[in-house]
Amino acid sequence: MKKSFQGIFTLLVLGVFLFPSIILAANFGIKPAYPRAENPRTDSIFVQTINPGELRSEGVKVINSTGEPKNLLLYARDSVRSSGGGFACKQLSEEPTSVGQWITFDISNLEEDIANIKLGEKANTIQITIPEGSEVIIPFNITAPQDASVGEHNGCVLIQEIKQNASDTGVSLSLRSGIRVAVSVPGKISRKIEFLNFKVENKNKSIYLMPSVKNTGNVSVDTTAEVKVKYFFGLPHRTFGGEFPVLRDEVYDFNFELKRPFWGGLYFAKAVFSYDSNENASIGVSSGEKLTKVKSDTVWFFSAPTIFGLIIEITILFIAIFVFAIWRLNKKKQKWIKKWTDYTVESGDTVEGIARKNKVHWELLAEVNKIKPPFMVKEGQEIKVPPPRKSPSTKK
Amino acid sequence: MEKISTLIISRFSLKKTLALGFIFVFIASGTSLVLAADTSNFQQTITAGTIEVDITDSSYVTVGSPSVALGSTAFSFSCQTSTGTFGTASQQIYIVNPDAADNGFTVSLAGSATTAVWDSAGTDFDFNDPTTAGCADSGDADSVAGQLTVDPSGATLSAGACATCNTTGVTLGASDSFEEGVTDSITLVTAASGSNDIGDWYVRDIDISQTIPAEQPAASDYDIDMTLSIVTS
Repeated sequence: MKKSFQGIFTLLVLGVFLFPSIILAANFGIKPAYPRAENPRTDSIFVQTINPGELRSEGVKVINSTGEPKNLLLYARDSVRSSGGGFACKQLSEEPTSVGQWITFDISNLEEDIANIKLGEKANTIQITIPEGSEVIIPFNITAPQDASVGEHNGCVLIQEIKQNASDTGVSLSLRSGIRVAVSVPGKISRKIEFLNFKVENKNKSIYLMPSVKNTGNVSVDTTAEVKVKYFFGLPHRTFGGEFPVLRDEVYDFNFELKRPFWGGLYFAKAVFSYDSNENASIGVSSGEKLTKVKSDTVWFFSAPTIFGLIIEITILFIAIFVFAIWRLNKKKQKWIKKWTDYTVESGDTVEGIARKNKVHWELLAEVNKIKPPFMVKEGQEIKVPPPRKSPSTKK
Repeated sequence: MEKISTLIISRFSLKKTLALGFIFVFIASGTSLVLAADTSNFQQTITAGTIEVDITDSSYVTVGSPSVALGSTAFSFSCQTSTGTFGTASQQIYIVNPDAADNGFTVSLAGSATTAVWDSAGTDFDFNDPTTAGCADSGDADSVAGQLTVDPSGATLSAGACATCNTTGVTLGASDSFEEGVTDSITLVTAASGSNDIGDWYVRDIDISQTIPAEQPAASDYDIDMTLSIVTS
């Protein structure tokens, strides 16, 4: 029994070490089927340069790595600007009129027959029933119309599960994923970004830094934004940034969140936008030339401190006021002591008696005259005493 | 089975077995393995997955029928606003990028159609009419008022199950309201090219508010179809 247990345990241990676990991404989706090594960007999106009237072939890989078959809709649609300048795609219900219409799926000569594929009810849509743990490549063609204008045109290839919406109240959500299709029609290419404005908003215990730029060229431009926030005296506080695609003819509103600084105070921010303005550059391909930089205006803003920061600042302020008050009092005291006059100790005088006579504390009298314990004075000793105070009648 | 295990036991002690396993893993690290009946070399390929947005619970289990409910409001002779939260612990927005979007992506929310409306048995109100902040109908395709505002800016954005991932380069969208033909899609999350190529994130607590026109008939089943999308850019 013991040997059996040991044996099974040993095999399990060996099994763990000999056969590393196979990792499955348990989802479904799409990705470009034919990425090109010379443009790494094609791993993630479709990028093509097409002359008017010409056709390019592409393919989208539909993957179902879940444990159950999936009924999916694969379709092409035009792109649409999402708020803030983000890239989004038109809905399944919207007829394509631009790049979405340039894309046609070719299901007549599929290499594999593992999925049940048929045309969908809506334009440029196909319906796929794909078994669990499988993938299929759906070819499609992109045909630029004869009247396609020079520059970049964007669309999408999307996938969406066919589901019955069970929710009868509230917002019923459908989920989909998509891949950008960027088609460039060659000609006179213009790559240009212009700074528009820089807004700062205080909201929700944070400060939102929102510079905006506009793409005035005819192709999208991958723009690197860098926003530097500095204290009013110039010391750097935070830097935000990132590279974002700014689509042609669109305004891009960056939105960086600065958590309220602990100490609060006066700050200023400035943004710099860098991009490759050379016409030989394209999506995923750099021209190798120096980047063009566009600078924003400098914006100043005030931030209230956090609660704890405010408490500490108030405490420090009180301590500082208290220390200053003590220092001022001490200065005044020193100035007053300099005005003390000479006094010759008489017979019977004591430190306490002299102090009382001159309306000053005996300890101060002893301190000024450096009289040490037992605080005794001798007849004829010269000491300093405060000047006589002027009576109200003499002040007049 | 017992003979095999006995044979192994007779040749190796448990300690030696564990030591052998560790040494094997150390040597084999970086080598891909696959079990094949008629080949002697071990291979395994791990392909990149696909980008995905999902609605899951806090354990990342998919919610079968995701929905968002706004707070209940009483009938009113005045225009009013109802509020709600998109993304909760039991229905969070879950984003996965398994090395499929190296230059970033955008997550957005849109109506399933620009002409979509909140519907209940023939009595509707709109989600994308900006007239008088949603209190009146404009010259759009429908004849109902109402506007939905989505504010992701104050939401919670966190790395998900990935222990080494972070939210660098991932930003929440700004507050905006749907407006037919002008703002048909609202950005919830944008990831720049500098974000994790392999990463997952969740988003909770997106504030939403819906303007309800004056004298909107009472009903308990107003619903609208919307689409949550993730697109590589």
